[in-house]
Amino acid sequence: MQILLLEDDPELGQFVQQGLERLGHVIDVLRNGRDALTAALSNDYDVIVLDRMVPELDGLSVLRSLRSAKVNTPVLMLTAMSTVEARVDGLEAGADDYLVKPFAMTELSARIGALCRRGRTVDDPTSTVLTAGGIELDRMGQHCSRNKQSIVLSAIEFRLLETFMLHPGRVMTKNMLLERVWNIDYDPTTSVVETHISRLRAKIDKPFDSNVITTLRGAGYRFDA
Amino acid sequence: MLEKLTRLRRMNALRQAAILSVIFMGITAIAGIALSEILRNSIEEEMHEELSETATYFLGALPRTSPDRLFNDLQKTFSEAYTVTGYRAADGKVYGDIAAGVFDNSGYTRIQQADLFSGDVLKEVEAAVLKEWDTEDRGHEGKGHDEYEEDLIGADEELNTLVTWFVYVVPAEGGRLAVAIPDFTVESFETLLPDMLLATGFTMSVLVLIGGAVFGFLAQMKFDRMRHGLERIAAGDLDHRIAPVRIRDDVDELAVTIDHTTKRVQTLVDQVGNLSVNIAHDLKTPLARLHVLLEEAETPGAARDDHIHAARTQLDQVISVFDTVMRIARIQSGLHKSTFTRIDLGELAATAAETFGAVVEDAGQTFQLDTSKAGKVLGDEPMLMQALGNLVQNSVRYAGTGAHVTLWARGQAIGISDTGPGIADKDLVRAVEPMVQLDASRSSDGVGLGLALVKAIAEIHKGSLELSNAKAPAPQGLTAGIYFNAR
Repeated sequence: MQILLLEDDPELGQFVQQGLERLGHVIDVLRNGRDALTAALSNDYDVIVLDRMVPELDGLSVLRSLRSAKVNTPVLMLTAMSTVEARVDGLEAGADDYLVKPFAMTELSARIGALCRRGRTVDDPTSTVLTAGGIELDRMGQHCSRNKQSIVLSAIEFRLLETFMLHPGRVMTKNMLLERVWNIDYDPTTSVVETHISRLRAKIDKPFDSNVITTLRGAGYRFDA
Repeated sequence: MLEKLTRLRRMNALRQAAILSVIFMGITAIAGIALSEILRNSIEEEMHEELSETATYFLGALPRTSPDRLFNDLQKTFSEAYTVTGYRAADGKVYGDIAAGVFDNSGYTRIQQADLFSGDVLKEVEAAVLKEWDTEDRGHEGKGHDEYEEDLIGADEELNTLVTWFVYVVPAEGGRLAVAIPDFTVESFETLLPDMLLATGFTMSVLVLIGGAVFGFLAQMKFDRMRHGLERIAAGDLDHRIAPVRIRDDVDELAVTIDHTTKRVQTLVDQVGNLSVNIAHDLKTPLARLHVLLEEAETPGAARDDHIHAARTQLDQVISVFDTVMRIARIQSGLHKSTFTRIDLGELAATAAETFGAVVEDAGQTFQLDTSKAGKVLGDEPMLMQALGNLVQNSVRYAGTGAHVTLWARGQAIGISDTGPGIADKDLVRAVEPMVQLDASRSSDGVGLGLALVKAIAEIHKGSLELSNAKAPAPQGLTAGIYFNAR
């Protein structure tokens, strides 16, 4: 993937660059908003990562300029500000995801992976029926079946599976699942995610030959079909 | 001295009194002038009427009587109505005591005494006036010659006040008729009325100013007391209250409001104090573990990856604690933006049950949802979900395996009841202090922030968090509830 990173902290910038390059991505690191805006307008990136607090032009302004220039590249905002207001500001300005510092490298790479549209195996994220690996998920009728066998899922299990199937082959961290399924931006400290994943597995994996949900230790979960 | 003057200048009551007295004097001055004008006009009209009446009488009499007989001499005039009449015939002969030139006027005029009467007549007039006053008004019987002369001089001065006369001249039987009345009534009114009003206004103003100063001093004493009280509070004595026992006026009400504010500041300072001390105290554990794990990771032959992974877990814990502390602080200080909507507590409980029921069951406990008679409240749904999550977490952690956990919504309250060991009655209040961990021997990673956050959330909903132990004969257990529209 071609990634643009706007980060003025040299250590953090280096850390992120090395981490992402190790995963096979190509990174352009820029230290101030003006340079980043120029780069984003002249090159084609798969994902753009913007830190909010940078010199010359802050990340939010860069984002707004990009969006008004009709640049629709997915953008992930990095920031130390964890308030709801800051998050809402970022998303309203056109960001696709928002990550609060300090973060784990696995979290960042998982989210970048989820944002990247290249090689997306889900043709139409808005379609009412999702299919993969023999699983059919009817989002309108709230039905689920695997290999034509009907499976009854709770509302939460349904949403979990739906989220996985919208990002097949991508790592979904606990935080990402909490945000998308439960709309929670804090750490609930109870094993909410694990509990419901194991319930989902009991229904969708256990009775069948192959597992679609894989646990990646230290990173999160992945749906493979 | 200068300081005293400044205090006087700033005295609110005195300023108000000064403004009032200026207004008052202005009003009385304007009233005085207006009244004076009105009176003058009204008296003038009366005078004119009298002149006119007299003239009419003489006009009627002239054709039948000779002027000689008609026009009275001065003695008679002054002993009767103070009216003087005169007539100038067609041939120019003047009857009566009015000077010839006066007859050239027409209608109503005012004429000086010296011009009204002819030369020697004037002396006679003055003598007649003197005599009149002499006998009637002065009471000189039995006085000596010197005193008499003094009185005469005084009378002479008084005479000078009778300087103007009202005169009415009309044509009559080929000649001209003149009637005159002295103007003294109007003049004395003219000086008397404004003087009276000015005196009244001045006296009132002085009284108002004195009153203002007195009230001002009393108020300043009150403000000085309040100021000293506030200085004590500012110096750190947050227990000090400045409102008096009896509330009499709006200044006292202000003092009551200030006391409320002081109390609130006291609460906030206490909360912050608690939080800071407890953060330091309770973060020591995960940080100490972190330190140990990293040290061990450095030793040769150690399972580095495992230690580092464990260290990261401790670090995540610490970060999570800070996030929660920040959240509590923001909620308590009112900075956290909350969107309040109408929430059906039964539906909220049901949604929470979907998520947490499974967690409870996976912990080897049983779960039940009870939403009979659930009511509606105005609240922030995400915050309430987080609060419920914390309460469930406590039950999962402390109620023990096999315990029964009930998530209930009743009326304007929602909460969790479990059949665990409960909390000792004496500890129930302490339990909601941030960072308190009641079971000191517990080795679990839990830090007692959960309840503090629930309390903060309850309070921002203008409600309260209440903990109670189940009463016998029911099995022992803890009930933690959020009560909206708190008692």
